[in-house]
Amino acid sequence: MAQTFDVVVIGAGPGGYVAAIRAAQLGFKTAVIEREFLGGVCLNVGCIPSKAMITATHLLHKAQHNFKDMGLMIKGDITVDMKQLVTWKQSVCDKMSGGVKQLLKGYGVTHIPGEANFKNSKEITVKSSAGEDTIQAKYFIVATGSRPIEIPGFKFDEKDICSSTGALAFDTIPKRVAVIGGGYIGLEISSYLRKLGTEVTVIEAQSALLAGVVDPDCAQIVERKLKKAGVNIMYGAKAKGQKKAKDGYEVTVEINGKEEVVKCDKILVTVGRRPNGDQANLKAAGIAVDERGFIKVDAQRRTNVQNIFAIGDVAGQPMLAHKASHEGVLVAEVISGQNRVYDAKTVPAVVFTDPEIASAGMTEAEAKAKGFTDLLIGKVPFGANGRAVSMMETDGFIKMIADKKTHVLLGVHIVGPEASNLISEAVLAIEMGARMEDIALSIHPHPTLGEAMMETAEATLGHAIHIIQKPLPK
Amino acid sequence: MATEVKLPELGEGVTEGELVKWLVKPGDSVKADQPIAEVLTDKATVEVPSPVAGVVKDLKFKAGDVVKVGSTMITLEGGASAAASAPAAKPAAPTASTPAPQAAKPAAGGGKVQDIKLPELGEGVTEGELVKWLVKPGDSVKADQAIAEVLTDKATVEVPTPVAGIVKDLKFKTGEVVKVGSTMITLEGGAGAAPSAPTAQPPAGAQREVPASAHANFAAAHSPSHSAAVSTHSASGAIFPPVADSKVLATPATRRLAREMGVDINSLNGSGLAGRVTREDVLSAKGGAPMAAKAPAATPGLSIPKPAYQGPAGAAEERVPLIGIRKKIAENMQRSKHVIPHFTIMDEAKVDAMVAMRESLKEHAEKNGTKITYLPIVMKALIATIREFPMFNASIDDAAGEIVYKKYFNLGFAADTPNGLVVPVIKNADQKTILEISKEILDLSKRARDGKLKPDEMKGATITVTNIGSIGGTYATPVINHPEVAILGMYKIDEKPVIKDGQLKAIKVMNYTMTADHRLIDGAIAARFLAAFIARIENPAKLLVELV
Repeated sequence: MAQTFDVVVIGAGPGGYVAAIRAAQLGFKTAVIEREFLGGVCLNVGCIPSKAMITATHLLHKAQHNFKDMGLMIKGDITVDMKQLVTWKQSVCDKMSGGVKQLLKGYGVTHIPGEANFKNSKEITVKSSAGEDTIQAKYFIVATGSRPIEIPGFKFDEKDICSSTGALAFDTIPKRVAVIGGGYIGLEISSYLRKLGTEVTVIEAQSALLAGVVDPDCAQIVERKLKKAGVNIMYGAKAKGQKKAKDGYEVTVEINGKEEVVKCDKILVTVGRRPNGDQANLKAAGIAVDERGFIKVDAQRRTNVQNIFAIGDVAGQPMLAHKASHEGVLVAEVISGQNRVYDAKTVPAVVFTDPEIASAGMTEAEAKAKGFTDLLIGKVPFGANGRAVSMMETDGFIKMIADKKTHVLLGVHIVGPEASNLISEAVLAIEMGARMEDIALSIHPHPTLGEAMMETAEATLGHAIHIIQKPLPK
Repeated sequence: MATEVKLPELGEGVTEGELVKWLVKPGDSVKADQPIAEVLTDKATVEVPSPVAGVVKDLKFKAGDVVKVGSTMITLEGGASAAASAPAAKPAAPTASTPAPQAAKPAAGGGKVQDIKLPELGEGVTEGELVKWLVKPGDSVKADQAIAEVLTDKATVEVPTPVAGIVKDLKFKTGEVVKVGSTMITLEGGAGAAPSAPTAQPPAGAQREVPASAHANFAAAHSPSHSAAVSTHSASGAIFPPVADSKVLATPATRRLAREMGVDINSLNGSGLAGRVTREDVLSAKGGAPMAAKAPAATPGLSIPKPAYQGPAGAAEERVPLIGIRKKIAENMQRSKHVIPHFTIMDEAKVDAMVAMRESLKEHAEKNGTKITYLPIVMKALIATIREFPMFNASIDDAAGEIVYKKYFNLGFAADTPNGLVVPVIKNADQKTILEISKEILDLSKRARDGKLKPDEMKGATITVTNIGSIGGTYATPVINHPEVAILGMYKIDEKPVIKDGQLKAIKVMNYTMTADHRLIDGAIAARFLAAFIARIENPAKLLVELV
């Protein structure tokens, strides 16, 4: 007999499990189908494990480079037990994934392991090792996420030719890694691999790193630091193919019309992610998918089929976990009859490189394109911030962009220590429609990195204290 | 051939009515102008006539249903006798709510001609003054593009066209008053228009009905098990209000509030710093959403919260829609109490003389085909007292910040009817005799009870008298009928023992209350007013010498 639910969520990633919990909170009989792991890519092979690795290698790097200056002496060398590091990383993931399991159970959400496929707009089949079941529901939420893009000639084996998933599971420190793609996933992994001592070559097709993703000034700081750390970066370079050599692999790269060879032991391909709009047999339910594989949704994240919603990576850019979670709550509330729509002014983006990059709102170019011709721009380096100096992490700056007419904050771009945490204030300020004065006049605690936010707001108004600034022309 | 008979405009501000009863049934043949149904609006019960003759095919509503103006009530099969009386029957357009004048001129682009009507501009708004056109004939417009600015009694609104096309002609001139539902422009479907209006586009009014469902959704949010309450938008369909873009400065909570209330936040002018739309802006726009909240002072009483009520047990409660006269009363009372700081002063009048006078006039009145109650006498005393204290016959124009003194006397009196309280008005009561007023009161009261008052007969009072005493109670604190500033309450005549010249005597007394707007009327003034009024009641001869 087919099981019946009010709401069935397909996919238990940061969009899906959140939607399921919110639906259950609202009184719906809810199930979540997951074919792989609770928490999805984010908790298992994405955000959380990479941050564990980044945190550990950041400490390693500090011990190697800062401790001596600080008078902290270590006898002998610091060595890395890669097996233990990976075990610890896995324990972090397991803890988070277990937490999701507990939450689902606590809210009475039925967790069904298996792979879901639509039969029609009211029914799905779930295939698992236990067999195949049919499940009916009034509402479906498709949260099937995305997967890494494979490029020709580089078929993932997740051992030598890897996506981020494989790279996060290396149990020995690779000697030489070729990273194809200088986007945020590639650079995050490059950053921590380099700190472990790996020789890293980044093969980037464009002329800059993180092109089009972050403020170019921010990308430049990271680039400089990567180069200083010894990461080899190739621009305008296209990976054409690879072959197994005596010692490892040889990657053929076309650069400026010429071919070069990059020797390495492991190849990491991080050229982007593709939405899973081709999975779960969406066609059987009549769900429309666009030419890039995204499910077409409206502002309430409703698909063209009345009772089916889609959220997260599969429902469109930006493919970020926090956007998916926001949509999960939204959709559950829409189903419950609340008049909600997606109208967030900004989805913050964070890159966990060294230093971190975080941004919210518009870049300068975007602001101009939107018709804000007169801008106030303030920039304060972390070198002028006491806390950053005391942390020995002074690389980077905060940049704010405001409308000159109203002083309303339009965008914030941070590169530097704890940029990922600092950006939250910017998100709140943008959503609240804050003016530069609002931030400048809010007393920020001292000594903190957050003070730099206040200082940057002052800088846009021409009166930052800790940098020498010419008064703005009236 | 079938003809649809729609609920016509029932008067200014009336957008719907409750179907009280059908006067015809399927199979009946009706003549043109024959009443087909009784509909109860928030003002009165109205008989709805059929504009054409024919045989009733089916009835579209049940008694008790709420019918919107413009909804089809019945369909008529055109009988042989019908044709003569309905020469202009338009059989070709069975679905269009108002068949477009499809004059057989093919449009330039070969598309069809569409009428763009003035949509609902918000609750209670029935018309607006055309401030300016934003398009001219020949312009091609996109869907949702503003075509005109219209000034309503609340604010200036930009009127969008729901579909794209090329402007054919403009139906009004600047300065003219346009009624909701009137065709403002006609559009010829341009080639570029087709994609945005793939199917027959509903008239503008229909699109704007989405906020109502938004309300329903909001209410339903309080009962999570009510899973059917999902609105019917699709991926391509419009969501109302539209999603706020980054041009609107408002906090996320305010944006959500606006959405829940069905207010298009994009259309508001923020009163906050740097043009922020504040929570208050949204609340005060609600009265006339979707439109700009430019004059919050002009729309007091609109920021009234709408709390939900959740009872403990479904079966032990019955829910009926708050509609019609009861809804109007609820709104009026709430507005009045919200806007006016009320206070009441109470006193007792010795009415032996007035009772005697009335007794002595009974026969005279009967000869003149009427009877005299105390109400007209009280009205005359009231008018005479107002001449001494003109602020009791005034109004406060909050928007302009002015006090309006009225030199005419239109006296409302509260009439208790089976449908609820209504207030008919004796116009220019100062120029009418007590006998004339008596006759008018009898007539208006009867028609009020029958639900047959015309909206005009309930408008324009300058002060109201409420006669609670006919039922019971010693004193009450009546609610002022805004924008009036005072209401006089009269109570039952009673006997009371007094000691006069050392002797116990019974005298007749009657209680009066004066409830006044404390913004305009001080307590001492009200006390003096009531004393002066009672002096006239106690000595009706005084009225005689004051007669103009």
